[in-house]
Amino acid sequence: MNEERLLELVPLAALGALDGEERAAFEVALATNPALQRELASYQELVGRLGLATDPVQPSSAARDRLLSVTRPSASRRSWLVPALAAGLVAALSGLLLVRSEWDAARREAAAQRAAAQEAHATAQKAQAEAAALRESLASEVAFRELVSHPETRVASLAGLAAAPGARARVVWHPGRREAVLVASGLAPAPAGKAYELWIIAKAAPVPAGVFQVDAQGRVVFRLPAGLEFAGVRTFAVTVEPEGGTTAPTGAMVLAGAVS
Amino acid sequence: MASAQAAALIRRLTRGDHKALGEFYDLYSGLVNGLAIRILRDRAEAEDTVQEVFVQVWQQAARFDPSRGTPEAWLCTMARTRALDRLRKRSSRREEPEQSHAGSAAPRTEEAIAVRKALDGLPSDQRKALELAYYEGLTQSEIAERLREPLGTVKTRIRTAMIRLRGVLGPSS
Amino acid sequence: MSPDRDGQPTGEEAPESALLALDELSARDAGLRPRDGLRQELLDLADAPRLPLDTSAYAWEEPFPGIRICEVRSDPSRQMRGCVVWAKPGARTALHRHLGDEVILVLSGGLRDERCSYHANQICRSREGSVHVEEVLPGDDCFCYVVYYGSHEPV
Repeated sequence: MNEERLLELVPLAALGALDGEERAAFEVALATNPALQRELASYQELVGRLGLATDPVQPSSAARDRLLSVTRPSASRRSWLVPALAAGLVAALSGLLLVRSEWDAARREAAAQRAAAQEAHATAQKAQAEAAALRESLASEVAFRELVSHPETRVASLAGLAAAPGARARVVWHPGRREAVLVASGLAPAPAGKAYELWIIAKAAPVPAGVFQVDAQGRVVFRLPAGLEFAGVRTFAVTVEPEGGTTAPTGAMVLAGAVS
Repeated sequence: MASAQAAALIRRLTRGDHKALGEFYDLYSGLVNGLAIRILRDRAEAEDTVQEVFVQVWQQAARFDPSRGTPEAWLCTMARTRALDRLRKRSSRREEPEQSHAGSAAPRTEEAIAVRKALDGLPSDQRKALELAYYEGLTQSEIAERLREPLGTVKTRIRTAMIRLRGVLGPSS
Repeated sequence: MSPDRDGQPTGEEAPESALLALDELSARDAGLRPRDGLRQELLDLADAPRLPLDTSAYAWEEPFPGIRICEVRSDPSRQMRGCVVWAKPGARTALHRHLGDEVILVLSGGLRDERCSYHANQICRSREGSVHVEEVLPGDDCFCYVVYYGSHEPV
């Protein structure tokens, strides 16, 4: 068998798909042909990598429904979830332009909330009502469902550190669409005047990825602000910061996890 | 990145570090089990394959050659070989798998996503032939018979698919 | 927790089920992890000796003709025993039932049970409650490392 013919057989040999006389002849030639051995090794390495991508399967609909019901914000959410901002996020997720002006208005309202804590509650309730109406008419749930079950959505697990040993969390994100959700539990409610802040750590300094609080049971489902850059992320971390958030981490780290 | 962590663990394995074996298992049992389940379609048999692979890792860690590929590729190669061995034993007993397809993993690492995309990009006839070779361990003649296609056609399809995958995925990082 | 008007769990209740749902997704993400007990079983199997065995270094018992065993590890708290087995070609065990799993790692040679045959570096597992016979294949001596969980009794 000539060299060219042997080289043609290499990809099949790497899969173990040769048979009969062809296989015997190939194996004989292989023993004394370094170029053939190198080519085979190269294709065998490729075959090895194929195993990384077994067929994807959609999560069971029960799992998806649970997740869906979770992240659909309810009217009784507490004021810590800035509802106007949530409505804005929902708008961004569904990409409906007609909501943009309401989103801008909602964002201004959210800023007013933070500045005036006493009025925040009444304003929040009004914003919650607006947000509820928006949510019901938008395809947010479809968008989130898609986020979670899309094969390109990535998941990282975060473990509690010494400052919060019982905490655990996951970040679910879609790098292309720049959407993400953090789900966490086992975190003590942040001290007065403080909040938790999530950080995206890629190659440079940690990038702020949103500020959140947990409920009385120490849990949260937090949708990260839209438009964050996830490319090259290697680690997610959560620290305790002043409640407006900071541009660089200053407080104790409570959760961290690497991206595989 | 996981591969650097894996390489460090493999070095510890060559020194007989039991703890490293547990850590290596924690890192990769899912990958190996997922591939074994996909091939064997039986969780119990897949678990035996997992044990065989990790025992082999333990005994042969010193043989791992990073220049020949990543730890993940090494594991997948071992997992596929052993799973196909079990598959052939079963077919010689003419058994059906105990369970229907248990569901495989959605790829989540960057490399896995890249491989998935590359496979999705193949024309379906090439993809089908490749999958029969990969997941069922069929030879070219067996594939030709299964697909009722000429042998030459099957060989060309598989060859073309593999050349294309190599072009898209490139050498390992 | 009062459900909202659509009957869905509220935000307060939600995170727990979110974690559960994500756990399920992550299990798939992780490629479908095997059952929990497998990890410890792997560590138990890792105690298998390397070949070649120095047969003079073991205190053999011979529970069946041609089959010698020597217990080298045990963990009574888990009812785990690890044994090296040296068996002659054609030797077979008597019919016995396992009250726990038996995991055989073949080191060299071959053996077979009623299902199939096993060779070097392969695992032959008999689950709790199974009743079977193992037989050494003709040819070479068969060396195995066997981990027992629970006990077994003759039938």
